[in-house]
Amino acid sequence: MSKVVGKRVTRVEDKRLLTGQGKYIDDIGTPPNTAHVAILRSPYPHANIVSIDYSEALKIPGVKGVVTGKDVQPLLNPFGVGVSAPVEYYPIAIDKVRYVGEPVAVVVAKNRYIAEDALEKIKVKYKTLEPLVDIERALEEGSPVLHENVGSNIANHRTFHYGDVDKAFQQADRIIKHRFHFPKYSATPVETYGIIAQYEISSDSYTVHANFHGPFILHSIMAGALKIPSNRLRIIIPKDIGGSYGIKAGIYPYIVLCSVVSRLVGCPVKWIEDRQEHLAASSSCTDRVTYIEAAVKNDGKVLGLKMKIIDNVGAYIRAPEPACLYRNHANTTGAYDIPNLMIDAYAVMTNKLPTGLIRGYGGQETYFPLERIMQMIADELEMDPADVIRRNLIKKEQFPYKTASGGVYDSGDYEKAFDLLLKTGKYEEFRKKQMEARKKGKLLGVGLAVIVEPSGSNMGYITIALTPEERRAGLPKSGCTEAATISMDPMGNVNVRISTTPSGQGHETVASQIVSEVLGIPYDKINIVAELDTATSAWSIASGSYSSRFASLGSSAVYYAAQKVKRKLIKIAAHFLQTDEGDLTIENGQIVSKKDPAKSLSIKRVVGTAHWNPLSLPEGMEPGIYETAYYTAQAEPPDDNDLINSSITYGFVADLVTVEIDPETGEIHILDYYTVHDAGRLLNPLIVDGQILGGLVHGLGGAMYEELVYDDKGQFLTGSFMDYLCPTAPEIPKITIKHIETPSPITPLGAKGLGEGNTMSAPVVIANAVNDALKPYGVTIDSLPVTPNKVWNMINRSIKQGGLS
Amino acid sequence: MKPGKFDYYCPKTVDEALAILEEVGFDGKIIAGGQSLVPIMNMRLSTPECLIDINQLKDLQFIEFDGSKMKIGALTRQTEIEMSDAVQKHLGLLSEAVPYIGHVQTRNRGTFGGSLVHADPTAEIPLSLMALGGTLHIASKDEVREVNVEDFFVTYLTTDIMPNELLTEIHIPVQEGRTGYSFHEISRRHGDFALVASACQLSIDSQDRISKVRLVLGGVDAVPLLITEANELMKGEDLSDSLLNKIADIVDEMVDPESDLHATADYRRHLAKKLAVRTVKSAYERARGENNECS
Amino acid sequence: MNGSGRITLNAGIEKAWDVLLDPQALKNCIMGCAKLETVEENKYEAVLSIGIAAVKGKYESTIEVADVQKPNHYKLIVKGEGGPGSVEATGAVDLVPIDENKTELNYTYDAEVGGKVAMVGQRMLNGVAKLIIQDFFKKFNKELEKSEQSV
Repeated sequence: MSKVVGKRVTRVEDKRLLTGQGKYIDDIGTPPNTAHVAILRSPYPHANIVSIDYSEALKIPGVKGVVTGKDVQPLLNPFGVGVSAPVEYYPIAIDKVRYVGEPVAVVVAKNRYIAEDALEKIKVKYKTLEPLVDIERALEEGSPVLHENVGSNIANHRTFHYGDVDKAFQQADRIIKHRFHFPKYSATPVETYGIIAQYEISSDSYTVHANFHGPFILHSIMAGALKIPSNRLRIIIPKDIGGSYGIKAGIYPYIVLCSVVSRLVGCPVKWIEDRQEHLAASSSCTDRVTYIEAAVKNDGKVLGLKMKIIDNVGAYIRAPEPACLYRNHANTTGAYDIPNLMIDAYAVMTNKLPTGLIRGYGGQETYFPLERIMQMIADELEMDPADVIRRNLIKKEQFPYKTASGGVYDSGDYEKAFDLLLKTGKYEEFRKKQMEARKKGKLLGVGLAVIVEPSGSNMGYITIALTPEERRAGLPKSGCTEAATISMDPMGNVNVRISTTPSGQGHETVASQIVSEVLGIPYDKINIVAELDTATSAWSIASGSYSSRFASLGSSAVYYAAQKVKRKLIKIAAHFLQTDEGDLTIENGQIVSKKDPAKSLSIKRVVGTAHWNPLSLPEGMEPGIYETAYYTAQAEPPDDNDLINSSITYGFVADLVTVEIDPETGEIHILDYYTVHDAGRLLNPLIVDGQILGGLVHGLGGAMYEELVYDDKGQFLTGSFMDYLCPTAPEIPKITIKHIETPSPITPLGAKGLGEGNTMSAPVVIANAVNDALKPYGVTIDSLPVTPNKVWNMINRSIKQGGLS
Repeated sequence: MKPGKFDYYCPKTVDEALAILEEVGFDGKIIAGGQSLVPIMNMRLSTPECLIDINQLKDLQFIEFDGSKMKIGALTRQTEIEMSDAVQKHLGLLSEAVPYIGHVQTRNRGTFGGSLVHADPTAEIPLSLMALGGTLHIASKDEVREVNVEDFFVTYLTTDIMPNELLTEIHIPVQEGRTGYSFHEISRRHGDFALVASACQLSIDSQDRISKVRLVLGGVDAVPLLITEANELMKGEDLSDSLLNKIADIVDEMVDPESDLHATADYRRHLAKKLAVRTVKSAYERARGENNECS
Repeated sequence: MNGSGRITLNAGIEKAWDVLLDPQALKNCIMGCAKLETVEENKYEAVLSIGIAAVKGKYESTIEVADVQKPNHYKLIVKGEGGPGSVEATGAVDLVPIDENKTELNYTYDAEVGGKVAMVGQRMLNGVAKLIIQDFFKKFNKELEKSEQSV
């Protein structure tokens, strides 16, 4: 069998997906008597619920029941969350609503049409309260408080000192600082949330089908909320999930809601979220204000950084938040060698949709201020931004590199990748072109950004939200476990069961490639079972599809499971061939002796023996071929100095973007987008490039188009794709992708995760390019998305102030 | 995202449709392509009691040239306009404007008449028709009346059509001689509703003086806005920078845009001025045959 | 959303005032007002069908006349809830006499629309709000003429 890992093989999933045979949540059957759910949602950002009258709704033929917060409260605990603030979060408002779109009542009816008819008949009396929308106002005394029992709107606050920040700032020639605001935006998979939930009274248990993709630590949180032993909550994930980009982790409150509604109404229920619900009330990234200060030498060297970060987690802090604040903790200083770092981190609550996982999770929020300030340093020092970047990049010989905050960057050659970028993007040439263009009144700009892309989250990082004392009071958390099971049936064919709940990333293909290579079986002859069932799959708290963890962790579990199978096959063959295990190798479906190639057995025969004639196996060996591997990389809990290696592997992304701006209209045209990646060893470059393109376009959305907008009174304004603007095919610029490969020493295949990098880098690199184009006007882009209107405002303001016209 | 309950009628002839309209009156709503109506019904922002589906009225689906004017049936799909050689030849402005409407998929369903009757103030077809001039044929059970496009649009989503009436066809005069046209639009993304759109159709005489011109702006008022004063001013003139400046000043005076999420009123006003100038300029150049490729 | 405007009424200030606060006139002037019942002095319950063309929502509303300073000033507070969401609007009206038969009316309004309409209606909300308010005063001038005729 030739090597298939690392090859651009086409995806085994595509045939079924392209012929309409995908099995998504809405394609799997429903139990008999299943009713449909529609949810009444709050039109107010902040109000007390005075009364809910649903008597008229119950009169509509076909309506089976209406459930309110008061009905479900006795059956539920508030969701657990990893902060000490006593926030009570239920999946439905109990007596107060805290964001537009919060569930207030649930109608269960024969079909969704009738259920929506009934929604219109429910009368809710509200007493409106002053809303809180602004991030920084959340910190002020006298602002409206969302959760009275918390006493303030601060859900979490921690301060971290690494290295000697004071000294760095004393030694600096200049201190360059600015305030940045990153917007709240979404991930908008084509398939929205979907749930089929069934309560069984005889066993007091819930069976739920849902397009949830982990992290499965949330299973414990759901079982806790439902007040049942966790083995009474069986969650089954369909084979296919129609995209997620993180957001489907946020389905879990609805799983609990539908479960308890099924119990109260007494029948299985199905809910498919609609697009309005998805935009208003699923999940989103945080919006974040960052005050960043850099201590800089005149040669561009950054000695230290201070950051005050305020993350807006919306109306309720819900697990796994405040993870957005800390997911990039180890790589706060990005691709730079900056040993002195101070972070003052807040998670605040306001009357907006609660947040959660979104592709890039915290990365775009982190790198927007960091990479903007690097460009501002260059501008201030009148240096070329490329030189400032190069001066600060971590050098090849520094790997594995320990970051100020405890990260261990496993491998990389940042300078090589950066040089490749400048060469590919013809940086010098463009600078000359830009000079010429400026003389003619044309606005050309070039932006650079370099980022470190973390992958495979260490489950311990979230506990950095607690102080070392608080952490000591509980059990330490660490690791990044993933599991896979490989079995061979009596005819010698392979089934692989994975627990990575793919949502379109091609896990089945890559798992096939790995098993094929280890066991010498053609990759398209391997059957991958991607359905995860918490009652029958091998899984753990970290399981699932997030933090780009398949390449680093999921694939490793598959690899080790295949190795286990291989060892057993060889052991059996050695027994029959009367040779050493070390003498045997697998070739083209045969197990062959290296010393005497005439000695061989087919795999089929070996596996057959394990099933058909187990008594002939080596003494003590179990029959059958069924091996599960649980894999974790070294991922320690945070130490007493708050040092935490928050991820397992760290890739590198360098971007160069060129733009032209129409000075009359403010329109931004991206001329070219170059991106260079180092994600270690690439398992399937075809899938890799697809992931990069998708992640990049999501980042482009954050840069120029997408925002969940609330007005200053907390009303939600972007409830449809008419106003929430995702980039579509015509908006996608010309993209050039290049790779270098420095294998990870951590993972068995040398691979690192990938797919989120450009979501993290695109917002800032585009902002840098636009800012560079507008340099003659002396403006500073410090918020996103950057729109034609904003660009025109900046140009206009500058002209009015006597700037360039 | 499911519509409320409605009765559904699917007439096979225009007469049948008109009889139903007469009967159901204000409770009825015609559905043609449904590209605007269905979303607003699904969001329950519109809950008509009866839907009258006119998609079977094939008599209303045609494009004809009678030697002096183009006749377009109300049910003609936007894609058919886009692909029509006759439209390309005689109503170049329309050919240029239609690709800005939504997406291929929506244009395959969306109709010429539907867009006019929906009367979105930023929509491309109402804007183009206003620039081209023409008459709308509106039928009811008892009569067919003709309305000039200038009198058709009343305000947001509101036209001169009464609940018992049906738009059947639209007649557009074809201009001979040295004519030029241009359509410009600025939107956040391709296919989005325009922030501002501008259409111009003009003719010039042998001395390159403008003899006839209609400049129209969309997205700056509750209806497509004919910039009458500018149109008057341009007549008999060569196109000069000072004339263009005057056009911009008139536009500034006439438009009354609103702010929304995607653009402030100030920005729209600014775009209106810039687009008006661009559009007139490129229409003029086209009429002079300077740049047939310009857009 | 907020805005302001000014119109000239074809009546003296006293007359204009009386008609402005007449519930029947109020009902006739508010676009889509299907029902208006007096709950107490200066407080009404109304069913409003607000919107434009086929895009309409039904709102059960309270309308309150407040801050009454006869004959110069009052405030109209409208709160409504319905399928498409919620509306809360406050309008302030100031009357200034021009002569015996003419009065200048200045108004300002501040409206907040919530729920579904705000979520998806962004693009036209400002324009439509303006339209509804202009429509109110246009109709009001007609009411004045009507009452002139009836006198």
